Amino acid sequence: MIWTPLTTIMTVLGIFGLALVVYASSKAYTINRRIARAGLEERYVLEKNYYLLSTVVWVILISRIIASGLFWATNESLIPLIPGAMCQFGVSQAGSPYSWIDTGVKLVVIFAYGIWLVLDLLNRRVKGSPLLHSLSKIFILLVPLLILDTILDLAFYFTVSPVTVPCCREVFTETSPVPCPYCFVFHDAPMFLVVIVSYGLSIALVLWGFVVRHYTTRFSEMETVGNNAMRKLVTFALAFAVIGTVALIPAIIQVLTGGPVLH
Amino acid sequence: MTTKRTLGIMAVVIAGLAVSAIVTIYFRGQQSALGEETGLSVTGVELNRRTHTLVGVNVTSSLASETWIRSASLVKIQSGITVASTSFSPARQVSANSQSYIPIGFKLDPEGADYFLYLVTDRGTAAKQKISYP
Repeated sequence: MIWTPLTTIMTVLGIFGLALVVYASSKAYTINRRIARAGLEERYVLEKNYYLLSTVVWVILISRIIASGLFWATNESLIPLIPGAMCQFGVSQAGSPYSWIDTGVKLVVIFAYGIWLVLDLLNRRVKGSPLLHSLSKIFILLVPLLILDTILDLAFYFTVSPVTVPCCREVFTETSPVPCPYCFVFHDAPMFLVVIVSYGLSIALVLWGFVVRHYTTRFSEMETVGNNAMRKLVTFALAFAVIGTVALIPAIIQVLTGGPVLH
Repeated sequence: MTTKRTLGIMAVVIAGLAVSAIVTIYFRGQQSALGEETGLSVTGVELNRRTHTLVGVNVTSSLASETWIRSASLVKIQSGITVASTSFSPARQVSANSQSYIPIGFKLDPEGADYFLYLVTDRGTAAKQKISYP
């Protein structure tokens, strides 16, 4: 392992996340098992337990979302510490195979974690917490992803060491039809980072909007809050789509400027 | 209203991706359309490894007449992006059947990369040289 401030933070977030997931999953399992058959009194106790669970899950998911962003910054900071690494491709080579799976997981987690967070926000605004059962169930479904996410982070950063690695120049040569995505986005055309993040958030917000619509049609008491939330989600999604498209203009100019044909 | 906005988002994202793809294809087409100058070759490269700079290159001409180098560009192979370019004013002269030194002064990636250096002539052709750094 290479100990730097960022790898230390990632390790701490991983251990912290794993411990909280283990704690919260047992709570969620109990609520999920009992809530369907609970009487009025037990339901009240379960609701109180759920609010504790909800707070813990918020901490877990927000810490994992922060870790998803820090993942790229940490990998970027490791480049000078790994001989032969020219970009994050080299860092991933040093932490292979966990790094590759972790990268794939990091690209999708925000979509999944966001579903729970959005639904919980709605649940808090509706009397009687109609989504209590569904949220416990969704969290149980998220547990394997959370465990995979945290364990892969720990495995990756414990595996990565300052060994000499072959970097992207071995794979992405002049005959390659596609460029190295790490060199392209993180080093030579960083404006595309804004485009990718904006479009990604836009797609995520639309996806969460569809999930909200699904639950709004299932629970009539959620109609007003749900419709309001859907409108807000879609408006934000449109705003991010516009930001992404506006950022695309300087991004393309960045790629085109100074080409040999322009002189 | 919400459905209209969702369709709007999809239209904006798809339009953005389409524009990116069209520009990339156009740019690559333009780059490959630049004729290669066979009468000029880069026979020496001066690098400063302390400042990570491509200081200059020696160009050898086997052409029967003099030629002028109007500009130089450095394309990073791994990303396919022109990372540096410059226009020479006045253009640099390369006499017939001789060698000339062309000062460049392009910054290179300290971690290393492969590049194509293009030297564009007044004939609309370009001498191309692969440079691996460090």
